[in-house]
Amino acid sequence: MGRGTRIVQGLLTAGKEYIAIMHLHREADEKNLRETIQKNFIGKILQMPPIKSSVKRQLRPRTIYYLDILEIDGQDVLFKVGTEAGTYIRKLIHDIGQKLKTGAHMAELRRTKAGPFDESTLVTLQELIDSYHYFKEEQNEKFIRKAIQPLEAGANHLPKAWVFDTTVESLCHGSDLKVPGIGKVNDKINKDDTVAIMTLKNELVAIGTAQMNSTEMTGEKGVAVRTEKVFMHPGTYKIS
Amino acid sequence: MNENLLPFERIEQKILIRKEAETDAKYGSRPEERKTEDIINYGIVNIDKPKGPTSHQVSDYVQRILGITKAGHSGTLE
Repeated sequence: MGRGTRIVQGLLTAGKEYIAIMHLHREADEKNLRETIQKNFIGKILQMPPIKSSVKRQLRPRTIYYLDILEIDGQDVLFKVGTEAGTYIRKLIHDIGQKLKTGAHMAELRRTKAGPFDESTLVTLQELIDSYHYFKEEQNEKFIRKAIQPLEAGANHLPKAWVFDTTVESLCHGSDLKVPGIGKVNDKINKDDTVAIMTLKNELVAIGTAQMNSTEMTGEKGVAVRTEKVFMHPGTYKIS
Repeated sequence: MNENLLPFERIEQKILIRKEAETDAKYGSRPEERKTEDIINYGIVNIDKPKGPTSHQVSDYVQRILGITKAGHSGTLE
């Protein structure tokens, strides 16, 4: 909500997990099905975006991180799949059907992870209505604070650099993060990684692109992170 | 190793200290100490979206439920 809407946009490029039901158009041999998936649909694949999609229709490489068959019931195959952003599951299922020569279509689809968000924090609309009611009418904030996560939760999956109080204000105005402003940093950042810039109070200041690796960020000088999206209001750390 | 992890979940990030420093309580607020109104205005809710309405419609519901002026979503399912 509010500025939170911009951090969830960042989830568009984060990894996803889905549970889906693939309906085969003819029975397939289970061993053949498993082997076909193992051999052709885990790891790097080439996928053509569907006609109804927002991206250019040309084969693009996508990574399938894992694909686990959970249950096979006749021609219905329930599976869990972890994918790179922008992987079309309906298309994946169609392609598996083609490879098996049985044909297949997607019967059900549910997303179970989007970057740092999984099913453990899910809230129904009714739960949201109820918890807001407790807050507004009975001044009980316990439920709404459990239902709504601070915007920092949207950066949970990103490596982080923590900056000094005196560095925050210039970042809020869009300046890049330079090494002398860094107090501490996660240790496995590579150049070009997306990095969350945090205050020492663990507030999200901005998101940007690493210009060096973690070790270099603990050095003395240079631009460490190019600032791309600012979340904190200027003035929050206006130190007089 | 559990193989059913997304790439970022497979990396265990440790912290390198460049220079120790304190933070002044006068500025900002730790997420867990933030006022509820601020969490509502700038927070994230992981909605269990029902099957019928679109993501856009559900964003509108959330906006109405919480009496806020702006709500977005992180992308449609397909």
